[in-house]
Amino acid sequence: MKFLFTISFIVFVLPAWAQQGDTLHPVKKRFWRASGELLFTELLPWSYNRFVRKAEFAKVNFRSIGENLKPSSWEWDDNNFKTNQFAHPYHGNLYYSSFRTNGHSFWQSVPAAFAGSFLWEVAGETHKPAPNDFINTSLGGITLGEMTYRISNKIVDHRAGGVGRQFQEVVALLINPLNGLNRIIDGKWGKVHARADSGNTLQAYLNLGVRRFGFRDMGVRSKGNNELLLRFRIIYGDKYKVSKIPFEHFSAQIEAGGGDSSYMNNVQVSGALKTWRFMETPKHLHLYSITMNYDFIKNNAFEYGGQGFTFKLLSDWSKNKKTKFYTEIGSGVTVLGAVPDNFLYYGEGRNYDYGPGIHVTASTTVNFNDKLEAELYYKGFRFQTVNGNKSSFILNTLSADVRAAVTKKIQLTAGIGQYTLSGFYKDFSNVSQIYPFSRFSVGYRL
Amino acid sequence: MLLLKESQTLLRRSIVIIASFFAGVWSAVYGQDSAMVYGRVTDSGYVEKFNNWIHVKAAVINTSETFISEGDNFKQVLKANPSQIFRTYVNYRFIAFYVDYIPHFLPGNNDEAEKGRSKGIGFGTGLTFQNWFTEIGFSKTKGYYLENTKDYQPGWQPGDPYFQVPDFHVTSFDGAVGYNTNPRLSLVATSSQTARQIKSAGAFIPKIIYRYLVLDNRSANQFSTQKGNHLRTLLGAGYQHTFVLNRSFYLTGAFTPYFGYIFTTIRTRDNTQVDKARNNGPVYQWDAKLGLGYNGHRFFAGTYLTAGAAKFSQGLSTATQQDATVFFQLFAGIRLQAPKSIDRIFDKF
Repeated sequence: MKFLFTISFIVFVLPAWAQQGDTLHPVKKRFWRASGELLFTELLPWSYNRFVRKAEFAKVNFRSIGENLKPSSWEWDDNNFKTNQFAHPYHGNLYYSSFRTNGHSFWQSVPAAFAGSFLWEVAGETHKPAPNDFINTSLGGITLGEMTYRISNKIVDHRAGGVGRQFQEVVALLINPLNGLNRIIDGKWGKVHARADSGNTLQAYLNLGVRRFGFRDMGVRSKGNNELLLRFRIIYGDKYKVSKIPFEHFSAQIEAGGGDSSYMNNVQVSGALKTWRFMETPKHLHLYSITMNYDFIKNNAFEYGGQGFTFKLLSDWSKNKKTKFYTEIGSGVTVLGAVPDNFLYYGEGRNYDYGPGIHVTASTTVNFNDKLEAELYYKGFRFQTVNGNKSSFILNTLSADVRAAVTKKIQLTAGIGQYTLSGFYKDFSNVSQIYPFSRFSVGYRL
Repeated sequence: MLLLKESQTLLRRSIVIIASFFAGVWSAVYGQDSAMVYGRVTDSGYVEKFNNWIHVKAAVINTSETFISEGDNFKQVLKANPSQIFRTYVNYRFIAFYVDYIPHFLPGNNDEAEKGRSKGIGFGTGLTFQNWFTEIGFSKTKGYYLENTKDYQPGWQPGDPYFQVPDFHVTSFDGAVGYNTNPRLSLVATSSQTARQIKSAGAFIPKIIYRYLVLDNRSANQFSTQKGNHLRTLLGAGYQHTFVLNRSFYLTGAFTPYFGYIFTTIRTRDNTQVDKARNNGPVYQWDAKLGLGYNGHRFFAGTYLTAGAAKFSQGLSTATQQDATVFFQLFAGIRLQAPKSIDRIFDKF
């Protein structure tokens, strides 16, 4: 009887819990602790700026807060690309996580990212509040926050113990510090359960290899240099599964490289907010999906950053077959994109224009019995600058990748592609640039 | 403002033309059996199909595609003269066909002293099934004028003759293949009127479009002339929605962004030689439509505002090229019973 009850509980109740927040161990909602942690994530960098760096901009007072509360005070800032497009979204990830890791759902945690961002803009610095910071911190924070929350939960295997488990806890803490902190406070750190945490799968590949970025415009033609490549490819959940719960599926690629580029030079995340069935036949499955996207690309040749939303039609043309054929096509809006501007450089290193945009994306993937996979990917953007030089841009990304399984754990991966950027300026000469790239790596499935 | 003024003028002229069209066909159909069955409502209850009728539609379009070339020190805006084009459609079930011609007798089309004379023809056809659709079109226009003549002749005043390029030839072959993801939205209800939308619906519509465009300046009295062959292929993903205001009146809107690549060959000719240059690069295009229509059992009419533009760099140079259209279409049509023999042939499919 007890056995039957346990089986029934696992089969019927646990999946329902998992639907609530992707965990079989639902966390009690703790609003006040969440609020306290949100404040802590504001105070920690502020204290560092104020008391360690003794920065002028951290000397906030009621007058500066009152000034910043005026709508007329808002103005675009002059920070460099990495600060605005990666550091701010990372900070927003902490605001979001303060609520997400304290039992609140995705949508309940979204206001925390906006509130935290607003609070920092108004009271975290004497600088004028910047709309680009507010958007990047909020939207980027939500995407990175939900991704890191789910990965950190997934990394910890509650059935494990010993050194291995401690290692998992540490890695999870590094990925989402607030989740780790709350696990310590709640006494969950290292505690062994009899069951796994989530029903969703996580596939992670670590690739090591070489890559090369070239550059071509009217006067320059460079093939670039070979660089060391370290690449994580993460696929969480099943893309072709209907779900109303945000981020039940997401994919991410995180790339670090050598050469003269910055170490962290590619973070691209796409998470499904909702996926629903459009049409299903015995042979085909077609789904609609709305995704939330975060892009940060910065290498020695090219940079682009943005956050947006895409409406997609996902098609599985080969249900129940060993050779899989998938297609995707969609369009959407980029709420705010940061696009390189050859004629702009001021402040801390502001060398890019800001503007909203629209985009179209498409991809095709063929998979031969999990032995060989080929993927063709395309994304085109159109931006209208709202801050920077008077301009507009067309940005295209086209890439082709082939992945061959050597063993169950090891893959060989090769890819080629190019970014093309056309900039149309009112007061300067137009630019048309091509950034071809190629990469070759050996991948290990973690 | 200019567009509004042109549209008002066009509206007045078009009412006269379309009223004449109706007067002609009215006598042919008036008195037919009023109890006749016109359409068949589909199982979904969203669409009424007029399968046994041939649809004849007349439209007046104030179209004129503008070609803009722009570089560091120059800008050229070339337009064809006709203010209005007549378009006649014949549509049956999933097939649509149209022919364009320039009516030189209209007042807006015969200001040849000012803008030169343009000649041209166009035709196209389309097949629209429940989900898939495809369309192709061809047009050829000769005779353009430089709309920004003032940039090159500072003394130029409105009313003065524009700089004319009578031997500028534009040949265009374009097409599209797309997929309507919602069969409850009838694309033909707003394009060829071979069906009627009964309940409001919208659809996400991915499509691939292509265009082969030849811009050829054959002017004999110039030191050198250019011919550009452009082939562009683009991928678009847009949305169309039709709001049914009541059973016969509807409001429709659509927007599609496209991205793709363009492959260009430019031939520069002078008396002694021909230089050829090839380049390719990304291209962005969009199109949008907003329309209000009446779709009755016997007659249909409406007015659509359609706009679109494409922009691209000329290879890796600082020069850019654009083509843009904003056109206002006023149309009216009638359903004529198809011969039984045609129905029988198509019923077999």
